[in-house]
Amino acid sequence: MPLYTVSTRGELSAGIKAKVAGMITDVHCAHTEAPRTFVQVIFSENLPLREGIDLHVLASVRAGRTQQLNDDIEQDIVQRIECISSVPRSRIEYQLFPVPASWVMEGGVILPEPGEEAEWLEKHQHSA
Amino acid sequence: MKKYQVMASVHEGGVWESCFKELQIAIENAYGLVDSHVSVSVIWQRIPAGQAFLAGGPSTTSTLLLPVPSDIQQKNREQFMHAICQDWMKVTGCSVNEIIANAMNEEMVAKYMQLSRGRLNKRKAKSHFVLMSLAALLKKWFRGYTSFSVNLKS
Repeated sequence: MPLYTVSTRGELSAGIKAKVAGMITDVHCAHTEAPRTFVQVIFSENLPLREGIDLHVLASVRAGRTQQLNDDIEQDIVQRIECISSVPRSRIEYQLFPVPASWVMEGGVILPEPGEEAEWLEKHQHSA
Repeated sequence: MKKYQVMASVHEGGVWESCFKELQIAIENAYGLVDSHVSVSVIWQRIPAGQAFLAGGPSTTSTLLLPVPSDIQQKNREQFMHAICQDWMKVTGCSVNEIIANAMNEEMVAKYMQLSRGRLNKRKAKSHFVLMSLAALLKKWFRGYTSFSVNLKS
């Protein structure tokens, strides 16, 4: 967690998928200081998306961050996806789904609350 | 008897295919920790190679979305996830970093699924889902498990 699911009406090339995944990881970590090893990105292709959208991002993230921070991440990701994929911003939809950290187990341990990553990493020796 | 539907996101051609029955049994057994009378079904969501990333690189991680009762105690939730992760590693031989468990309150799972379905064009999605369901039924008949790809036309 976070798990970003990127859904597209068509297919993205392998190179673009790798760039988008790398960019989402960079943006998420830059804004939140979360370890990179937390960030998962999955692509789902050839979906009959709703009229008006060609690319959809469902961001399942740890709950507890400010609305402003979540908005900044969204803006940054959408803007950069537009540059990488050439899908116009107007045809990209981004939806947020916050999940309590205590509901998720990764690396055999419960995830830390946002902002408590450093202490958690020290305790669990998680590779960042 | 309460019914829970688990969504397992796994890699196409991964080791899970040869041991899905043991994994399903492990998941069913773990549900005994949260509820005594339950029926559990597992839907295997296959992710083709090149479509999953972790830390910006290719991923081999499996993710389980596990609905649990909303009144579950946190200690119980953790024991449940721990049991599943341990069994998953034992059965598949994967590392602790290759299994993610998300024991989500059932009403939140419903919201997540609603959001996920909401991105689709209802009319077109319906016909795709009919075809997918038929393919899933055939797969279940031939291989013994229900699965579908994250791509609707693959």
